[in-house]
Amino acid sequence: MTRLAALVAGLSAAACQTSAQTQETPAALDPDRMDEVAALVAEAVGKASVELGVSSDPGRVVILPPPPGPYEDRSPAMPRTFQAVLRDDTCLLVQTDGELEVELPQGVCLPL
Amino acid sequence: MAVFKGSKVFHLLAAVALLGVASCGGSGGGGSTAPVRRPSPPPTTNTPPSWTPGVFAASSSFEQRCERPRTGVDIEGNPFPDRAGSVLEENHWLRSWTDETYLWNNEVPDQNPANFDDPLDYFAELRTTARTPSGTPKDNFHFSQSTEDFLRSRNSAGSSGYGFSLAAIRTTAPRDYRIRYVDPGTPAAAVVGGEQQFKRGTRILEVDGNDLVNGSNTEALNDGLFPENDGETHTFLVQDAGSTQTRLVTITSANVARVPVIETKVIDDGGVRVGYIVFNTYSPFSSEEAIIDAVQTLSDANVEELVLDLRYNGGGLLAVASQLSYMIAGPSFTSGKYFERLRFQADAGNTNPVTGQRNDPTPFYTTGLGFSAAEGRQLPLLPDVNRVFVLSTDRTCSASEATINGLRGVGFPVVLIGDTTCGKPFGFYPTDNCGETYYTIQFQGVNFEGFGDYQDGFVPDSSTSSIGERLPGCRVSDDLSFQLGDESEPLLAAALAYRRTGACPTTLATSSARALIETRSKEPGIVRFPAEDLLSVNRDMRLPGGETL
Repeated sequence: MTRLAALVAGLSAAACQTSAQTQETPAALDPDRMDEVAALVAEAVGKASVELGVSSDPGRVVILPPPPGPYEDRSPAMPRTFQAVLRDDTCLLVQTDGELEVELPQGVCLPL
Repeated sequence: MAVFKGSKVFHLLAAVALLGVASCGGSGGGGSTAPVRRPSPPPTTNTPPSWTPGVFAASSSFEQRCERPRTGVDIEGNPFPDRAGSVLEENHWLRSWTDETYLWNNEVPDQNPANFDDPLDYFAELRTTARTPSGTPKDNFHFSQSTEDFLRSRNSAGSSGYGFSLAAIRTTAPRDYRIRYVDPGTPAAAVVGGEQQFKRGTRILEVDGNDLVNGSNTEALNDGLFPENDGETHTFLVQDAGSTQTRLVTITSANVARVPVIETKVIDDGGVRVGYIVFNTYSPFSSEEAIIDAVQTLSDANVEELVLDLRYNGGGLLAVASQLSYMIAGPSFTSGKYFERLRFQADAGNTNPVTGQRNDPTPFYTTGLGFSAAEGRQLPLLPDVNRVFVLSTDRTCSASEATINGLRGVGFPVVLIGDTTCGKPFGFYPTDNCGETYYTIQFQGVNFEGFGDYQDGFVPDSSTSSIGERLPGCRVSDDLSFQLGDESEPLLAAALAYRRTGACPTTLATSSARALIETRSKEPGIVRFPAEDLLSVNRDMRLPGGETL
């Protein structure tokens, strides 16, 4: 239960953008390392691979859902959108609805 | 190193964590084709599950406990989750999963899973037997396919073919197979010797010298009509609509993907600029960019009226349907309203019972979502368009009907020209268990006004049909003799006439001797139907693996 409480607290803190001690700023992603980003997101969501969608913002990543099968004629599938941020010195991808964060290696996030 | 907040953990703790994050913003996400709720497996027990009528253990108790467990990884590279189990456990999973997610779970007879030796036989029983006012089964979309086939089909960017849509007007001798439409940029659309290889209305008489009309060499006919590989060359004897002459077409198959928008044009109709779009599928991710580009073209042309040709559009992504509806209706109709809400079984409350997430309505999306158009790109609008003419047939289905219904829900006028739509306000999340992917109806789409009961289709008001949801408009038969976009093509002609007069035309070109009206053949065939017909002619139970009817 203690571990659960700690995790919940971690989730809550992480979903908020800032606290008194942390500084968080939007970042861009190194366009040459997007395959690496996709692989890390895939690992985080428990898939072997994910496909990137189309983003016009260098700091945003779109992860496509699995394509609809031929009989999914009323599919609620939606892409998941992430924003790259630098939280202190840590490079993170934060899902825009706050559900998931993925830590990226140093150097993937570029300051804007 | 990826750390943390994996979705499994998040869902387990969502209710508690929500207290902490509620003030941080964020919006409800949309759905996914694959369920994301994956409870941790319970410990294995050796006690066979027992059946107590009306009592349902959690489906997670039986999930992926398989008579024949798969090993290794699937074609997407994901490990199979199977564990050793039994047919009985597979049946119990079906029973509990149905109770947890089936839209009409309270209408399913509770039968003992132990009485069924095959999960597919048991699955056949796990649905309502109620009927719609027209007398057709209320649940007409209950089936399964092998997960291997499901994954293969959803991961294929295209398939071997020619790029035409084939209408099976009559599948037994004397057979009548004709071209419904041709996708641009495909072998079928190529111009050879000054003539397009195949055109709408072209009838196929012979395939590689085999008589398609009365012949019996069905294997050779199927091989030519439905090539298995790219690079196969076949020869067709064909006759174009309205012609007494025949011609030979030699064509080589290629990897072809469906083209979402096959025509966009501006028609000058007595000085009024009428936009016309043939939109054939919401399914591939490319449909997002294609329909946005088409509307942008019409927006740039300042069209005053819109004819949206959905006659062959069987649906696809609801998000793209929402985007299209927003582009048509604009913010004055959609602001502060939503496109559609998914209605799940009553037991689910405001939770999506498949994903476990909160059931937020689908908004009118105002920007690109990243499927194929840039995420955040502002969608174009048609500010001078105050109503839409939708061209329809019984192939106008699902997400196409959601577009009609979503627009009506915010009071945007829709005029229906053509035939009654297919009547599918329902959807499902295909779900794998032990190598079989099951489709069971889990939700119904309802619009902003709460309406979603169009199981008998949307019906143009001039129809004599006594069932279905009526819309202003005209009952007109599709006619393959006329090219799409031709202003004398009966559906388009009727839309233009209605636009000018406010009434349905009394005479149409379909009354001429050369009318070639496609009617749905119900006879059993030995030559295959085109694959796209499968769902509409065989909604019930397992899909035929070889797509041979």
